[in-house]
Amino acid sequence: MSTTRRSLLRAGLGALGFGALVAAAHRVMKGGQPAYPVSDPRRVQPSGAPDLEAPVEASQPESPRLLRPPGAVDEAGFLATCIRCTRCQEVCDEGAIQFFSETGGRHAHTPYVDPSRRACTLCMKCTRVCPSRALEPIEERDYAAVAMGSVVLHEELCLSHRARRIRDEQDLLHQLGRSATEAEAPTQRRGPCGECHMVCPVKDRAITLLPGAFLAPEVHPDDCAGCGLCEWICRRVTRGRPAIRVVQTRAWS
Amino acid sequence: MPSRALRHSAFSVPRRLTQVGVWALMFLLAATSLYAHYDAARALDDFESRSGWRWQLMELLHTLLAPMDGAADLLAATGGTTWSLRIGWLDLTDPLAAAEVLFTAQTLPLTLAASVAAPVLGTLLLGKVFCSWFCPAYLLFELSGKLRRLLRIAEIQPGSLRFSANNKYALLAAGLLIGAGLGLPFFSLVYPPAVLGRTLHALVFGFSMSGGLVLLGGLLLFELLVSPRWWCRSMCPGGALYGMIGWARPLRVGLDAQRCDGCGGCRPVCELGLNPVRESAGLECDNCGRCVGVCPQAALSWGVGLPGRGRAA
Repeated sequence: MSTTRRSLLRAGLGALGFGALVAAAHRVMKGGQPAYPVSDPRRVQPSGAPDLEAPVEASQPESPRLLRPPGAVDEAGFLATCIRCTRCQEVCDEGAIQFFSETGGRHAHTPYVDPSRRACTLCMKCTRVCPSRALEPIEERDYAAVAMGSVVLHEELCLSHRARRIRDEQDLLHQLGRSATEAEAPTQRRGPCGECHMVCPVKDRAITLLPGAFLAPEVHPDDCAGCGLCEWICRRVTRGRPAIRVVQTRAWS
Repeated sequence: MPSRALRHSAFSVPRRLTQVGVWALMFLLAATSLYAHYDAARALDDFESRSGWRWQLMELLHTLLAPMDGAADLLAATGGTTWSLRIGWLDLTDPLAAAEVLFTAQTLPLTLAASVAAPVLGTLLLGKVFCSWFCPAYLLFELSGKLRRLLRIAEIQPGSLRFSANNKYALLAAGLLIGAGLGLPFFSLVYPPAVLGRTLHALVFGFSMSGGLVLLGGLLLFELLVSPRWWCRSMCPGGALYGMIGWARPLRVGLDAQRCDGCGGCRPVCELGLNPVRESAGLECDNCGRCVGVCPQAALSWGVGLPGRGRAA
């Protein structure tokens, strides 16, 4: 009697343990969009990529964008290779790399960069510390090898573009013909801003300046590394409504 | 023949010191990494917070480390947990992580192979010493075993179910296959030492660590109330892997059958619930050395031996 009861109990507990493991596996297995750490409930990843081309309203909250650190292999390969060891985050002195929390499903404990919080400075240390090559090593200053994301410019928010437009309007009003001197002068005089061009690691490729005195930027998304430094500086210049923004290009599985 | 007390402490004291040292090291590695972040923020005067124990700790580290030349360079290259870490030039990763990546990604990156080389070599020669000497979760589970004694003193009889030691090999195989099927390293997410490392890291950095605490707390409660040392004895896939790697280890506990009087004093001290007289040379033994220290006849001793047998007499 007691032996059957004991073996029954034992089998029951074994089944319980197995059930717990299956539940854990199921939780891990759940796909879907990655979620931000639970500590910040404001941030929820909307379905589909955020539409950054849409006009920006003052009241409109920013869509969260998620980037992988530089050198990240394709998403399926990344999820398979990343051993969730925390070392890329530790080595990121700027604090750009963060982790999905345990509620992140398949993405739990993997690293991401949130360009609205902190920019990646492309120091490439994380790519060289990764033990399992989920991040492929990238040489220092080899910015062309980085494809974290891309960039979009909202000219209506950009100080330089606004100054330029105002000047154009004035010129039109005055019809004095002196606009030519300003429009063709290279960047002799400082425009109102031009900080994004100044800070860009792939300067003169991803961000170029329009001819004229206003240091008005023009972006070239194909050459952009997606580090977010331009957005970071623009956020400070514009006090929270950056005109230049990083776009998420990665396909999240 | 050295006295029994000396033989007992010859291994138990260094082992306990090593275990505590690993915990201290993991905390220190996380703290120095946080310090590197703090130092970078200091250069820009861009702190996210200027209060709390983390801030105090960082200020303390700053007064210690700022005057030291080269400290920043060393710290920049140093970090991680027992799952994967780097100290100076030494890069170490848990062999279970490599086995898992081999299944999930169907390749073994060269950096990962190099990183697990030293642990694999150590396990080949010394057996499962990672478990008994270094594993941070093992120390935690050992403590839960000690807590069971307290329960008994309080006249609460904790359950002592035993499960087969072979479950761990099945779990290892199942986990690797689950990982391959999902394209996700399953053990990286649930393996207690990896979870514990991440939880300590999260504690230092101030991240969410509730999942890790729930998993580890659940295991501890289960071991405390239902089945003693359940995880290490019958479930741990890492233990299964190291056991297989260390099957032909030269270092093993051997028995001098002439000396053994069958008192059985070595059985209750074995952390893995083995009978050292019969099983100390096998796949399961993790060379912790407790049985060697406790044998009143000095019949158990360290030596060089072959698998399945005691050491050569």
